[in-house]
Amino acid sequence: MHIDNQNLKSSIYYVLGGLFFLLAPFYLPEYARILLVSILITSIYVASMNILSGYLGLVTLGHAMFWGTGGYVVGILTTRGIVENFFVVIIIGFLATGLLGAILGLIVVRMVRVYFLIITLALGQVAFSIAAYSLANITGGTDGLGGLARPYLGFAFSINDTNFYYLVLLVTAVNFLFMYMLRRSPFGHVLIGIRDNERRMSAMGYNVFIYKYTSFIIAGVMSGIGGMMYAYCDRFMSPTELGFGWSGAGLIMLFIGGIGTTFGPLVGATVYTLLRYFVSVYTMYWSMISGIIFITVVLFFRGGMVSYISLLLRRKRVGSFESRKIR
Amino acid sequence: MEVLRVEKLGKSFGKLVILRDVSFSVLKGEGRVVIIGPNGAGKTTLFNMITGELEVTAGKIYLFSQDVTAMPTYRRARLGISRTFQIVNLFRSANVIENVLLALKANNKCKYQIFRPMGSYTNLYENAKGLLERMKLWDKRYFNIGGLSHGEMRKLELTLGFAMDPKLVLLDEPTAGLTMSESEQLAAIIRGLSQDVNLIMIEHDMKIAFELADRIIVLSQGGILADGKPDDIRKNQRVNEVYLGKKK
Amino acid sequence: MEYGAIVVQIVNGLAFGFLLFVLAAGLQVIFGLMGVVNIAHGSYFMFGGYIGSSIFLLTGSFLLSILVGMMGAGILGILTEVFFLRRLYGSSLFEPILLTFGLSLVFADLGQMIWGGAPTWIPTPEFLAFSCNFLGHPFPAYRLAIILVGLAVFFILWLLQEKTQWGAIVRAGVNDKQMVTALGINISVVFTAVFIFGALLAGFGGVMGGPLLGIYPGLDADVQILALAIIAIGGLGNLLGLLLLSLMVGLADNFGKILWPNFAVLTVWLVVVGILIVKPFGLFGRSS
Repeated sequence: MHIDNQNLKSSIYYVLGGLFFLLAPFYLPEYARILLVSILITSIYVASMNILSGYLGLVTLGHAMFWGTGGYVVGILTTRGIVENFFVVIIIGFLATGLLGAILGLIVVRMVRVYFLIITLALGQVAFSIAAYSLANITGGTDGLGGLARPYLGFAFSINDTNFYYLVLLVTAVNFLFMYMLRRSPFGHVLIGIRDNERRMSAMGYNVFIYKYTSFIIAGVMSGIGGMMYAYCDRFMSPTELGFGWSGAGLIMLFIGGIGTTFGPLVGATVYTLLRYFVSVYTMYWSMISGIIFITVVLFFRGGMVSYISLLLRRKRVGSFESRKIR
Repeated sequence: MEVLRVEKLGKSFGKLVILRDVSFSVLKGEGRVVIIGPNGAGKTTLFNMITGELEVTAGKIYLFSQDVTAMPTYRRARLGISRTFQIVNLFRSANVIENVLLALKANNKCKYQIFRPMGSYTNLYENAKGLLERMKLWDKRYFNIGGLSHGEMRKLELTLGFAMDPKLVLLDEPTAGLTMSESEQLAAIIRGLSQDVNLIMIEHDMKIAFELADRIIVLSQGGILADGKPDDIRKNQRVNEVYLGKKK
Repeated sequence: MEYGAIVVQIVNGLAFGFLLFVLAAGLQVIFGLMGVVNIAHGSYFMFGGYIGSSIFLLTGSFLLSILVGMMGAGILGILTEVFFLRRLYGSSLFEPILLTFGLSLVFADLGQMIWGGAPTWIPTPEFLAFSCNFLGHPFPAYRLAIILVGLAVFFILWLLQEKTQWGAIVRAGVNDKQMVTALGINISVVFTAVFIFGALLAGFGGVMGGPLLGIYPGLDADVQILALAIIAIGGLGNLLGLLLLSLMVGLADNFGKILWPNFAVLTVWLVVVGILIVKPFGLFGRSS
């Protein structure tokens, strides 16, 4: 392997990107920084769907339930003063979403394609209904749960808006790094192999169920992390964060950005969030607009924006395993 | 040592009977076994049952002297059985070398690794290089599957079958769709690869079948019609009746 | 609950079940024949109802409402199939479904744009606007009418499927598209026809359901999700199975709302999930 111009160019892009994010609070106006935080948190959510729907090819319409679970963990724990410490809350959130994924995964992962879609949809609706009605006394029901505090890190370190931005940036960066490594790892390649040809993977000796199950849990926990950061950010949780609408939105973002790619989630989250912000000024029918965009992408831009941009820059084929080239 | 034993194997879908009462066994080092038979005889179904992709309705299957009748496919693969497919069944998102790497990883501990990049496993790449060079596909290693000719895809299909050093390989019509000369080239490769591996092959091309076979099993209408050396099969009257005009 | 009240609730549940059946039947054929889960199907139901309600306001004729409502839904169906789905045949399994999902979003907002956010009702047609008395409990005759009409629809569908050539073609197509094409039948015409038929059925259900359920933003999602659950369990099996399942879901939903209001949605879904666990391919579907 030799260093060439391509690697140098990539490195420059990464450095520039990094600087952009690191220095954002200093040059972005307040509303833009708030949008950026939202984008970053959302990109974690979309990345989690990318694992399931992008790498594994298991399209899910119920993933919001993990996001919402994470958010409600934060909400319930902090508003009732049960736990104050940020780190403890996060750990509990991990455990809660992980447990949920582990239990549901056993049922759900065995299902084939379309039935998987329907059952994830069903489970998402169950989650929504539990939060909205069944456990309304704990969750605040359809009115939502408000008054969440910013994260309390334990030592006398208060979180103001700037600090919070860096916290979110850190979490997002770590998450991105994880996704980057996953994509290029043997595990990641196996996932894509399963997507392409599950039958052959089995025939070669791979225990496909374990891969699907593990990925389901990982994706669930990741989504939950996003939900937790969201709760700390917006300081308000409502059952809609668990429902079909948000699950669908995640899918839309994933497709806009480029399903199965590393940067897809970030690009998709950015485009969707920005568009929604600006379109909502003029009309309340954002749902319809997002539907139209989605249809357009599905019909004409199969690989999402990342593929499109890649093609423009005439870089290597997107969607392949992105493994290193050997002599 | 028995590599494979199939005992009174049967398969039906409701009232539809595909296979009935199929029994035979293959010994280690026995040489190449070729299964022939008219369409619909149940050959691929037989393969699918041996690999575990299709459930057994009746009978038992033993791989390397172990009862695998209820064992899931991936566990059977780990015992040392591998197969290729009648319709080319490659990984279309990946290029040639990545396809091979997927096969090589299957038995390697690294397949659960998330935190190290695939590129760091140079020994696997060396293996892949060896395999691809033998198959004369090394130059095309970065080609995406869509850019390969049918003959090259068949060769890659074969490569995947042999990549994991299996003890028993099932080839399902490996020359399907190839020209005469391509078929002969592939047959030569198969002959070379199967020196220390047990090979069972389904073949429609009679010339290749009789050329490569050390033993022929004739399957017809779900049952074994004949089982023996190629010369005996050639002279077998019932086989001739079933195959009127098809044999060379 | 005393006996009379139970019977009333059973009738309510059955009526709802029949409406779901009408929706699910169309969904099932489309899924079976084209492999597409039409997420916009509930939107046809809702639009049929909306258009029906507007026509009723204009003309006061229930019959006209049904006809125009069905036509409206049918037009949506044509639009969906011709302009959108057609481009995607032959691509991966999920893209058509995602397309219908996008369309469902568009239709939902479109409904709100045209008819506003407040729920609409279609008043019960006059000749049915009386109450029967059963053991001291009054209940509207309209619900009985839905049940009767529902049964009629079932028989018509069954006849179409089993006894006509068209039905035979569709059934053959579900099993083996290539065969049908080889027989010289233009499969894409069959697709379109089936799709439109399903949409018409959905629209019919929407208008019929007008007096019972009302029409409101979110109706499309409510019925769609239940119908999806029904075909998930019912699979590609038979029409009778679908009917029974729809009725069961209707009853479960109705009784759930009464007995455990907070857990109403849960009852239906737990049943669905439970069945899918035991039989991942649905109760009647064969493994494919």
